[in-house]
Amino acid sequence: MKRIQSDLLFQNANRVIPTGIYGHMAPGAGLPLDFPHFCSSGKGARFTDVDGNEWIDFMCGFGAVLHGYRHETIEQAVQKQRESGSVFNQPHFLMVELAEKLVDLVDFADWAVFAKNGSDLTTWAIRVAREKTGKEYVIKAKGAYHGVDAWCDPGMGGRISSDREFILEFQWNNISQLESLLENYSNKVAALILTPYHHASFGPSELPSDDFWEQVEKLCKKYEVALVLDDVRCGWRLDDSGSHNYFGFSPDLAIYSKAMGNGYAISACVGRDEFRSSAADVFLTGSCWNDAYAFSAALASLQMSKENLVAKSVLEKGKYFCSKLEGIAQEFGIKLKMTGVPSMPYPWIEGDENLYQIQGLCKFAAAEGLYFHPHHNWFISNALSYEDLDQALFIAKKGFGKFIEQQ
Amino acid sequence: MNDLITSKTLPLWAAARSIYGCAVECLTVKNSQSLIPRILPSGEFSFGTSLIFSPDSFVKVIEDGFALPQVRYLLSAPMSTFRSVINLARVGNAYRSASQMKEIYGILNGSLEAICSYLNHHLVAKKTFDEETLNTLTFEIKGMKRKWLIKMDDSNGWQVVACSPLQHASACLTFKDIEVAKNAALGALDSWLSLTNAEIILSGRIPLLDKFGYVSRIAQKEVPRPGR
Repeated sequence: MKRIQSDLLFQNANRVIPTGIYGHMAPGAGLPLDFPHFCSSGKGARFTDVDGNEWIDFMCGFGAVLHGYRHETIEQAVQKQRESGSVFNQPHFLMVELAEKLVDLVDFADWAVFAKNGSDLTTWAIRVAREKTGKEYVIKAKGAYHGVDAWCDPGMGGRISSDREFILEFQWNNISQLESLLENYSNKVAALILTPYHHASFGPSELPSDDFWEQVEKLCKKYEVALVLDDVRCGWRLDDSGSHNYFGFSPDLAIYSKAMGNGYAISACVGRDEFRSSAADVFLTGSCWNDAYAFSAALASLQMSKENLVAKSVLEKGKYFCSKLEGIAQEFGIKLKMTGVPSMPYPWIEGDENLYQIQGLCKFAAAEGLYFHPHHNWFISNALSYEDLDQALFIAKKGFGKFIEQQ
Repeated sequence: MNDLITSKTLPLWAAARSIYGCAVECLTVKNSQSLIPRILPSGEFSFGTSLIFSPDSFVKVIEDGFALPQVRYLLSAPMSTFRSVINLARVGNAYRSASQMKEIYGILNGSLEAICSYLNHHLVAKKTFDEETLNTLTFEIKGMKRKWLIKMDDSNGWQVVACSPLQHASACLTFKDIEVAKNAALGALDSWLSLTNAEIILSGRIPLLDKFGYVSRIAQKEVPRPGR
């Protein structure tokens, strides 16, 4: 892979941006010598980096793109909106249309609000739960990511001891631990915030045990705790009407973002009627949050998801790809298991707790133009055709072979 | 001892451990032992058995290369005090020169010792690793057999320990060459850039190295070092 512009740009970036690139896209979080630092364009399931290398994509902008880069239908909707404008003194009327769409799509939802990022609304949602219940504590699963705010961010700097004073954690799937927390903090817990399944970075994803969600719902009812679903990453990849349907439960509040706008920044929180007046009392705003371009993109994206059964499609494509990839790995004696749900699989190699093997494997895949991330769950784009998947599998086989040779 | 290491004394304690860490690599065993540091209940810093500095004098030793030790010990054990003074000066020279291999090894070892002190005693640094269960990190220089291992165990806390060339840790940081290792140990390396130009290669459980990097930046800001 050619790599000149990427490095030059990073040098410039490092001069004017702290760490050059920050957050989950920081070079150190992935493969700093193998992944490009900057991209220039994308179409469908492929993107091009600043050195002109084309990659087959398995990260979809870390989940922000579901239908493929620059999908025609979505781009047309945004283009049409561009003729009228984006941000005004009052919200654009599309805001109402989008809220109606979500209330219609998501079975338990009676209202919706909008922001730009998942974090904006995970934090707001727990405040709504506090307002509604009059309680302080929030329970989350250990290692789960819910955003960049101080109560939950995975970083280290800028914290004070009170940031997490009212945050409690339990091990995913450990219902008795959750129940103990609820019992010990009886009448003090406002919210339980969970992702549909456990998709932490740097470790295999964990699906909910058979009765997990049933037990969670029972406990929330018993202890009068708001059940907040962080569907930011999974939303529209498991079910076209919210991931709670995939696992068969019903939350009180749910937050969506990422795939919802197919690359246009938007997030939404939906909720039950019981939370409406509390939601009205927790202040919410942002300068560019009433962005009509993002509203139009989200409307088009949700429509496409529903009409084309996109969640089902990416689950099927993911299943096909994951089983074949596991098979190829097996041919080389690599015990690769694609964990989590097939539309957003996390690659885990048995006995590789320290991640050396998966890093090696992804390096060789990167050399062949496959963007396989070693530390984060992948995302299957609906723009990937079965031919694309077969091509990726063919290339992966080549890369895996080189990896084994080098060992 | 732990009660004596407070947020106020920690930077100097880390500097003292760093001096000893450097001595272990640069000096003979006997000479390095003359620089084993302690904090005394009086708040003074001792090296070996008889070289003792007040905190202010110790800062001067580090920054200016010389300060008067406590005279009472100088008079009661002049030979061992003198040996410690000479060895302290040798370590200071190693930092200033940093040209021979053993001096660079010394600075690197000293820097790891200082960071371990922070991992053991700094409130924020300690918390950073609270939830980690895999706690071993190796540091190596490409093409060289020498490796440094730092690890945590319940009885000793974080420490720099001997490491065989074949030993694998939970995470590994590899320096491109000895010069890069030296610059890193002296805090003169741009860590973000060095990750992308292969001066530093990270592998294994990256979050451990991320956390280690954060603690090392805290230590680098606070710990006095010769020639700064």
